[in-house]
Amino acid sequence: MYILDADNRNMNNTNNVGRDNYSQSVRETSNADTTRNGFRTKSALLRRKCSKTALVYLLVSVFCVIFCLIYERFSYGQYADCMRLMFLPPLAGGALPFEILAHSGSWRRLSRVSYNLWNSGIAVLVSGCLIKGIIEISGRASDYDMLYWIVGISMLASALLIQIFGHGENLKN
Amino acid sequence: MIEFLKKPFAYAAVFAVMLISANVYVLLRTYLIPSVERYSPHTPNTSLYESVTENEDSDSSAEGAVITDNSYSDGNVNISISTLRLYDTDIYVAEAVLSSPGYLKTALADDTFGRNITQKTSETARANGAILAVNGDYYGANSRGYVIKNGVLYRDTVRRDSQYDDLAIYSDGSFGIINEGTVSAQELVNSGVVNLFAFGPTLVSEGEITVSQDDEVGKAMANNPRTAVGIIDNLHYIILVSDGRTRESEGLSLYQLAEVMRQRGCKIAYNLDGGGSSTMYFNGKVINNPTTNGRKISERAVSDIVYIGR
Repeated sequence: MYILDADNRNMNNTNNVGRDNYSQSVRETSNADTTRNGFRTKSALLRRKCSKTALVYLLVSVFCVIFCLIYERFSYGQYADCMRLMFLPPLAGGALPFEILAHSGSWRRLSRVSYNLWNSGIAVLVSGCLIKGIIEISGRASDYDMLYWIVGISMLASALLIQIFGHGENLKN
Repeated sequence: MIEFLKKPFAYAAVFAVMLISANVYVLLRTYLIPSVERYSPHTPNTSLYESVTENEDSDSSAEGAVITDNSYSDGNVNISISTLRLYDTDIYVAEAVLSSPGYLKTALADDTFGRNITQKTSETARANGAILAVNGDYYGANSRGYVIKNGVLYRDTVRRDSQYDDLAIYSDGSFGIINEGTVSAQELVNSGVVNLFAFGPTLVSEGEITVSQDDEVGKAMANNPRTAVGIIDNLHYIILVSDGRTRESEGLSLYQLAEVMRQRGCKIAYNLDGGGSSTMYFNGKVINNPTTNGRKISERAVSDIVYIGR
């Protein structure tokens, strides 16, 4: 039995249904499952969402590795550590934690705000790796990369804080 | 704001546009948008600089110069060019003997200090009346690092990769190796430095090779087109450019480059910007085969050159 907070208990609230971007199929499944099996079904939906997110992040990681290999192929043998590590944020900050969340029963909810901020933070970090890598490979240097690290990490930290302490609306699709 | 953050697709779309815009802006600022930089208000050591320019003004023998395809001599400037074939690479070596240190100079692209202000080596050389010119340290690729050209201090922030030493050319024409972490730019100017190159590494010091066979600039591949300058004796210099990245020329490693410079008798030799930047201009034409990718022979536009000229 999973413990759900107020947000979860409100998942079938008509106001929320009208406001959020449920797909029709998910909504139907959710309603049906709720009738059939109560709270556990909603957690299952969230877990399924996390699994899907983890898979997307895994694919992004693979894409980063392939992109880096192709880029280096045309860089006259030059490479940049940053670009080689570009796969790490989506893997360690995306695929891994979401897969853990999907298989963990210890969490109660996943806030949409937190989810969006977390994804954005990862995207900023990947962009930082990419931009710094491109600049380094071309033999140049720039101070702009620091902005990416600051913004990216701030977004991740905000996402964590909101997830832990916030009372935002739960992620539904 | 919170409500907006909850909307998955609208938020994702807006965020993606913002992130892509930021990336494009950073790349444009780094590579394309020229920015003239205000340089340091530090006053150059004018007495030292004037001693250089006075020597330049004393030159009046250019019209009587003897010029061939591989040599130049006018009584004050004697340059001979030899082409070597070593390590499956064509190497162009200019040996210059000057009557005055004022003939060894540097020039900025478009005579302007700033980022992304570039010009082909041959164009900058022609604009400055150079007899012999090679690309410099491409100061414009970085936002930090001392820049001292022709006695003027343009930038006084320490370079990022300060483990590399700089090559200082003093007003008497002598070379010295300095580290930006240990001396300020103004102190360098005060001590008589008229030109400074912040690339590296140092290839030869006190007649001994100072790089290992594994050394490389950053994380570049081992064999590249190269540019190097060295000093044999008082006002006696070696300026070298090698081809590379082509079927005809493999390119040199830093160690091979250092070996060539030492074999030519250099007491101090220093690696300048290489790769597609490596260009040697002599008597009105480019004599090496500059290339970035090996498929096309063409000059790259660079921030600065070092040249011998009137």
